[in-house]
Amino acid sequence: MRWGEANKDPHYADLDRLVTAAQSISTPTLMIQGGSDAVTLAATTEGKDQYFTGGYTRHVLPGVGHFPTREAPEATNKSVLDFLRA
Amino acid sequence: MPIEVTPTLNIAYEAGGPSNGFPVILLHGWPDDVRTYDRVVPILNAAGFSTVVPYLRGFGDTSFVSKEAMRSGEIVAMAQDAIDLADALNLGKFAVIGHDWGARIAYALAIVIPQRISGIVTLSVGWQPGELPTPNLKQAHAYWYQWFMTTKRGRQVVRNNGKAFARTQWENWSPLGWFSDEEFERTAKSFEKSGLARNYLPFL
Repeated sequence: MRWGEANKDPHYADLDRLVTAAQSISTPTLMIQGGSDAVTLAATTEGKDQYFTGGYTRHVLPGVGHFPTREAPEATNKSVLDFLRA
Repeated sequence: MPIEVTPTLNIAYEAGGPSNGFPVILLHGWPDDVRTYDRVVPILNAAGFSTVVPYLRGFGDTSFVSKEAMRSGEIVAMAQDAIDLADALNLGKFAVIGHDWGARIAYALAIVIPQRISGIVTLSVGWQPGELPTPNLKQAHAYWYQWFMTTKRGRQVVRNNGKAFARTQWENWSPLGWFSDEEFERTAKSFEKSGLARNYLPFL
């Protein structure tokens, strides 16, 4: 269903409409991106700040791929704790 | 391992930290499982946070209540699963940490129940309004496995050899040599049980 090649479960149609219609996110958000992520390229998460109205921080971890919690737990934990405690 | 019965799923999860700590739900991605947070959870617990780490639908011991329920891999379905779990555990306000699919679920939760979400940490996936745009060619190349799985033959490969398929993704998605055989095998158990994407294929 991500690319329109399978049927969606009608049970979630209302929720799907709500999520697809949203123009912004008001929840404070910390986004962590591996600088060497080879599946979700870092470019895909650039320049999204304007969609977040409740605060948005993007941390890029250089040399880290798609699994920051496994590859760079210390750097990830520091960002996460600073955010959760704020 | 505790299992919470919700309207759609019997959700297997790991819980930790002080029972009166502020709750954090941690949502894993694909092809992955709760072990992705093994080096995060102890730090959060030591800092006083209570943690809930569920196996998403299709992974580990999480199972469908009804045999007839559609095995959908929609992000909004998994967002509802997370809400059902939070309700079953009587969580009022909580934070969400999500990786990969889990990040997409976290964004959806922030949209659907903003009054209950104090903050979201999203790893490895960004957000913008509307349907996912068709990726540019460089990103489409990185997503080769998603196009592969939209074909019958690709699905057959995933059905017959999901573990090797998953391992290929782990190898390709990060700089070489980042994981041990043991680390992969521990997590691969979660998709051997129900079959990686055997019951439902969310990428189509």
